[in-house]
Amino acid sequence: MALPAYATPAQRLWHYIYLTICALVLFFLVMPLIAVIPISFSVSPFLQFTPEMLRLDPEAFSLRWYRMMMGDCSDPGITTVCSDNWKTGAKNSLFIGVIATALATTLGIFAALGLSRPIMPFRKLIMAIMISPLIVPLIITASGMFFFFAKLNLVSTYAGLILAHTILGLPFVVITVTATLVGFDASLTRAAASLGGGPVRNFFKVQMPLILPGVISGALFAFITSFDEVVIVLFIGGPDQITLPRQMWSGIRQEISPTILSVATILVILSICLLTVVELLRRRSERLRGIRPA
Amino acid sequence: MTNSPPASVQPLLTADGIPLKTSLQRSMRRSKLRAIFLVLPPLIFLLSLFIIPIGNLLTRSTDDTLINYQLPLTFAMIDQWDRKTLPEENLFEAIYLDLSSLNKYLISDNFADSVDPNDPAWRVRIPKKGPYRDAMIEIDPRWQSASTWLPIHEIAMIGVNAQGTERERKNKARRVQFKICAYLTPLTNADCTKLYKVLQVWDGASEPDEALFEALYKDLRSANKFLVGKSSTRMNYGKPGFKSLIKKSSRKLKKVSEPPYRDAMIKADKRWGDVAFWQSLVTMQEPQTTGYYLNAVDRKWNKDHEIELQPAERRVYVMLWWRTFLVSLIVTVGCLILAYPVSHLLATLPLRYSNILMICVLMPFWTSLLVRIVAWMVMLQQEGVINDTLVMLGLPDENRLPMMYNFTGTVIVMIQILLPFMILPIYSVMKTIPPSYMKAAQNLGAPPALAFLRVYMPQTLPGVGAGVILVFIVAIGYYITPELVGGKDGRLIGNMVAYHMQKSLNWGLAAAMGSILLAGILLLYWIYDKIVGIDNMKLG
Repeated sequence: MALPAYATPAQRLWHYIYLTICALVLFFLVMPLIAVIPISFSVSPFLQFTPEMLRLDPEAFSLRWYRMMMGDCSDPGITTVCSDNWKTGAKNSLFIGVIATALATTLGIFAALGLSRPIMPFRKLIMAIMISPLIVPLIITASGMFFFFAKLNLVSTYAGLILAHTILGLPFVVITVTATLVGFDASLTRAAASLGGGPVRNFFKVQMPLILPGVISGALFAFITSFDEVVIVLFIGGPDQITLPRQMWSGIRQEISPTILSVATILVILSICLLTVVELLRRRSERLRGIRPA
Repeated sequence: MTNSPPASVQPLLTADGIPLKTSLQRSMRRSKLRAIFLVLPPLIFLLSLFIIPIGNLLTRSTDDTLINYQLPLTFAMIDQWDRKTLPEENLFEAIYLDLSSLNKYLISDNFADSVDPNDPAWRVRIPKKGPYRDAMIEIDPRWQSASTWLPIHEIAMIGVNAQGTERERKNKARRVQFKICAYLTPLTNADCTKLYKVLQVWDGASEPDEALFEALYKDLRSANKFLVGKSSTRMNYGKPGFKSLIKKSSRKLKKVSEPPYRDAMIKADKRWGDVAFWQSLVTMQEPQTTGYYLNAVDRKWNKDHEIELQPAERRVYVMLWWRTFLVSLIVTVGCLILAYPVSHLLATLPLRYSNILMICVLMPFWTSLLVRIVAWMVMLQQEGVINDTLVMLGLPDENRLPMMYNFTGTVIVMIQILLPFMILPIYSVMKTIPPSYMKAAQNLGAPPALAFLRVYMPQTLPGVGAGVILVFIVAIGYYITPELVGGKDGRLIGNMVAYHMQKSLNWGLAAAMGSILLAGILLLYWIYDKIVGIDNMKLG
């Protein structure tokens, strides 16, 4: 919104103040994430911009914290704890995240398909239950699961963590897929059925391709939730279940070494990639459903 | 069909001759069934692994049965006491028997109203070194018959017949030992190792012999020790000092075997002569308690069944609730102030530019929470980026601002983390307001400020309402951020729940605090549903 030519000086001044405020807020949002990146390449073990770094001295930068993150402990100058835990954590997080996402997506599609049908008794109540894991504070969810999973011998097992993360991811899939189904033209499935397709085939050939963007973005949300989840892991995970967030948590609690910042940098870059994918998917979905971007 | 009387109205028929109404109903029913069939698997999944565990947690907030299992005789007799003077010998005897004898496990009916204090079985003494059989049968003759032992024998056989690797069988055997104890006592985590061993060799039919009784006695004794420990922790919540009193006296009471117990117990620990301890026992009598809820708001029951304040040094929770509310409020207002202009800018800029700026909003939203917290630690700490910059700009080095591990830190970090939750709903509402409205208002003579206040702002209120409630709901249950950057005076109620879950193990109190928190959140959620509707919840 540009300023009209007839704006008074006061309006002009206010306009620039307003733009400055907006710039500061946006700066406030991204600044910490950006600041982490250069510090992760620092030689020094302190989490700050050293004077050498500000002078752009090439001696002040190194990849040592990235090497340490990968479990390479050969660097003689490192005094902080160095272990394979980051790699194990990343592997575990991926493993748990992928399976939990697959489960959550499958269950979530079922729920969304059911909830989007024209006749559905107790639609509101069921929707509320489906979304409830998003509403209940994690600490309460974790406490409840701790007692319940202890009874089922699921504490300190991968199965327990996967089930818990599936529950946390489910609402995201339900929300996104239900949203995609809002604009879904039911006559398409009817047409497919009249042409002789069975319900399963119709689903995979007609419905699925159209709701796919919603499914993928829901799955991404579910994955990122699992990948970023720490409270439940702390409550029901055992010593074997080191996940990436858990490793970060213990890193933050004990001593923050720049290794954490290198992990953080990688995760920031990963999040930018995910963001791009979701944004592209959203546009594609709107295009497929014939909604013009406003 | 065709020769129906012409007077009646011909029902509409479908192609296959069924009345349209029936056919429609049938197809509607089929559609409904199909919908239910689709929803059922995820619904059952959530109900069984999420809703039931949460409900289960909430029942813990009122559950006080453990102490009733421990002190059945005492609670059966305490009503006769006047609650003012020191109790008579009979009550001392009751608590002595409850704490040190195993008779309560052996008498078949001994819980709450069904305890009979006049039953001679309470006073039967089992000799410490045996023989155990006769005494135990005297307590309750049902132990004589093999059928009483059969259920635990069956449990034991599950462990014996377990298949699998060495480690799996060992685990199974251990679980079976817990199960045997859980059958005999209210404890789920005491293990009956001796019984497991002898039950393996028992054939399940012959009359139970001394070996079985010995194992029963020994396992029950160790289980009782465990139960005394647990229940004295519970008694300590009612009156501080109870745990050490029980611990100390149970050591000394081993030597006491003859009445009178009153003098012996007071000699063992003089706190038994303090009426206050007895009075606090009265408040623990009911198997359901509201005590944890009262504790969560710094109140407690006194001996006359009135609610009173906790002693001053134990009042922490009201302050914590208040702080949690305050932090959530500050964070919500802070987010609103910061989000409003940015949302406006995003909504009014041409799409090309606003898309780029939108990335600034969405990037933190997609980044791991812990990464954002680490980033803020780098920014805010004593030697952090902000303080370094301030020093470079001329702040004296010794005046570095403390922005971490305190209230300020929690608020700053929470605002940044929750800001996208405020921007997105406000933005999506502002997007729908045509810019011509403002222009029209100004054309009609309103100065820009007035036009904004009277025309633009009222239209954004649905978005503001949604954002405010959403941020408040998320903020009030926060745990990770205050735990990591909050330090001592930035802790919120969520941290207290975690503390009681993991450190102090006062699960009843944790559950009570969780229930209050959950009730508040559900109320806000209900309001959110009224304003926005959960169906309109959008992501990204």
